[in-house]
Amino acid sequence: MQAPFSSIVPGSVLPPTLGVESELQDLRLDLRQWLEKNDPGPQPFEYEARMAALTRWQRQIHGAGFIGLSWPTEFGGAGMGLAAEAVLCQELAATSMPQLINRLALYTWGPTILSRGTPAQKARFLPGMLDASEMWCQGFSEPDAGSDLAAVRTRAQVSGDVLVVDGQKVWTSRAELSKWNALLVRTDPEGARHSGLSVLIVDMGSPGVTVRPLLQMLGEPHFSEVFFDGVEVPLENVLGGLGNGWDVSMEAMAYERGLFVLERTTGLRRRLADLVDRLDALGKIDGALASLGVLVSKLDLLDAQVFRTLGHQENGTLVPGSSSVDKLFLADVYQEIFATAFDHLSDEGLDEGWIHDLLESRSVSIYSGTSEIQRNVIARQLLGL
Amino acid sequence: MNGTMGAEVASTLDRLLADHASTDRLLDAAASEAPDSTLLAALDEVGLTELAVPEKMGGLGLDLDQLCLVGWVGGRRLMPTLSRLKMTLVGPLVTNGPSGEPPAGARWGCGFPAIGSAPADGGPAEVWIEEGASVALVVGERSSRVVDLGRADSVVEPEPGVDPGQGRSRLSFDPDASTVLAGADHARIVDRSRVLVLAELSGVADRVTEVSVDYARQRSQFGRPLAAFQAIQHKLADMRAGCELIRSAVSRLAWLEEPRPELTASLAAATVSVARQVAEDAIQVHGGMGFAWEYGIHLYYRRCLALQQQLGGAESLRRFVGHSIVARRKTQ
Repeated sequence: MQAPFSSIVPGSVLPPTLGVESELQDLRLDLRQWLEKNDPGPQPFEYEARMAALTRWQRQIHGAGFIGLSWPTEFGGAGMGLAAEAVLCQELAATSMPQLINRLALYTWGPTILSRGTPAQKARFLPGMLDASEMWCQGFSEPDAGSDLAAVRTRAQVSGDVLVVDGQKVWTSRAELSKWNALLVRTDPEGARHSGLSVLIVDMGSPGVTVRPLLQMLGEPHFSEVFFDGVEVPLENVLGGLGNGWDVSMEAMAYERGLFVLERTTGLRRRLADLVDRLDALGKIDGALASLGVLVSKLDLLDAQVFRTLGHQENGTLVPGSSSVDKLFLADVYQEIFATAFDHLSDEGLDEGWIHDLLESRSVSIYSGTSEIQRNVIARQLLGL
Repeated sequence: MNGTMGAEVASTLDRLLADHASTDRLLDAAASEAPDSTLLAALDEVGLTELAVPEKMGGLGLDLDQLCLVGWVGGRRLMPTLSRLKMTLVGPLVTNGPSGEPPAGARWGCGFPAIGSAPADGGPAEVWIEEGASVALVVGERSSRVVDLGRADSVVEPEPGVDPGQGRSRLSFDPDASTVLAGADHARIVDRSRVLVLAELSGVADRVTEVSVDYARQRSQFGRPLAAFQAIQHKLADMRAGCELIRSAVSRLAWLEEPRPELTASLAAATVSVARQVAEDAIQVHGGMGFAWEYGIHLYYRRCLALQQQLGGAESLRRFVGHSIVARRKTQ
């Protein structure tokens, strides 16, 4: 054999602890009952109304005790495993709003703060993530640092007990709604590309922060340019220590694969069910069976991939780079669903929602690491090329 | 069940196949369109037939995830298809049958139903058969038939298909003269046999990807290794991603508490296409060598295509899965 069995046994790579099948049956039934009773109905199409409705929805779910299931109880969570979060995602898929608006906080920065944050940071930042009272955005990309993230130039200089931030970020999703920005900045101008970086938690209400919404191709202000002009950030808002920004960012990106991807797939299941109903109503189902089969099977395969990633995350055995497979395949499946819907529904079955989602799907192979970057990561980290 | 048993068996199997199933031997079998009887006999001696038989029936009673490891090694080394069928179907079904006969002694052929196929009606069946086989097990979704190949009305016509050298044949027989095996575990055993096909695909894909990465490192063009070109790196990355997805599918099915045939079908539909793409990319990365008979990359491609057919064919699988979701929506 070329590798120890522990690393290659197909069965043992998914620890049976991710017991989404039966162990959490009580939680599943509670959730299903609550969600059925409280389903808020179709989400508004108009952007601002949609954001407001989604915020209310997360707050309501939190009020019922179903947000932060895997977080420690001392920070407002339920102290359960990642499998419980998977159950939430699966059950949410059956509702009219199968999304959690503050998912970047819940699934990316919350876990990063739990892992790297100081006690004070945990106490300050975690509660507002859960009830969506404090939305989060992430300041990574810059005009000259997109895929080449380590090229960031936004600077932060220590001055007494604050850092002074100057620079510009771009493509910051939901910046206008956010209270906090997890901002990747250069704190050591002399440091080599990856070593002089830090992650700061920046209050978007600070003097010197200017948000200029950018219309994306849907005509929605989904993301923004964010300018920092002498913005003062307390030193205690450095996450994971000065100079550790690259490591902190990569850890955050790794979290972004597991539950974040699963959360996206739940929305896709809902849309797929809508597509079946719509094709059926139009009498077009027979001609679409094979295409629907492709979509179902790919969604099931994506779930299988995410479950394996979650199992590894829970056990601390996630191989660096392996979750790039999740992101790469998410983009593939996401885009195929809406392209297939467009092809099969034609004029009579297409409404603005389907067109919106098809256009939006093109972002999935671009955001948080393009598909090309994911392939680079796989080639480098999994294949050693 | 002892968790290391599967690893021990897999390790033994890997060594045995490394010795007996070299590329040259595999190519010989493919060229002659006849299974390698020495190899089949050696595999029989390892006791593959007993692996999936419950301990109380005198077998080793390996859990599904352990069997998947064995199947995965079989995929890597392009184990004969008939040996997989003996392990996953002949052993468990025949030992479970009314007669309780152990399959040792007689030489068995075996055939099994594609996912979503109509129930077996006793008509001609696709089977895998070795030279000198005296009896064949024709497996259906809920029951199976044991066919005496010595009878005059049992007619075997070779149909090597895309993966020759496996003994694939068409068997016509008199259903009234066959013995019917049926048991409560039939559906479970058939479902497991399909999961094992996915495990084999996982092994095939992993192996052909490793071989391709090695080749890309060694082969130089324009003064640098192929592996230094981003176009090749991205193709290899897609192959590796495919391997991870297939492994996740196997892992998901191997850890289910109860069989879920619909999920097996769905993951099979996705996996056959992923595996096939991996094997096609392997040929492309190898360039002319990928197309050459003696280099043997085509053997992995052939196996992927054959396994796809055995599960039911990509388009039928897709339609079957499509039907399932439509039926589910209508009952909700």
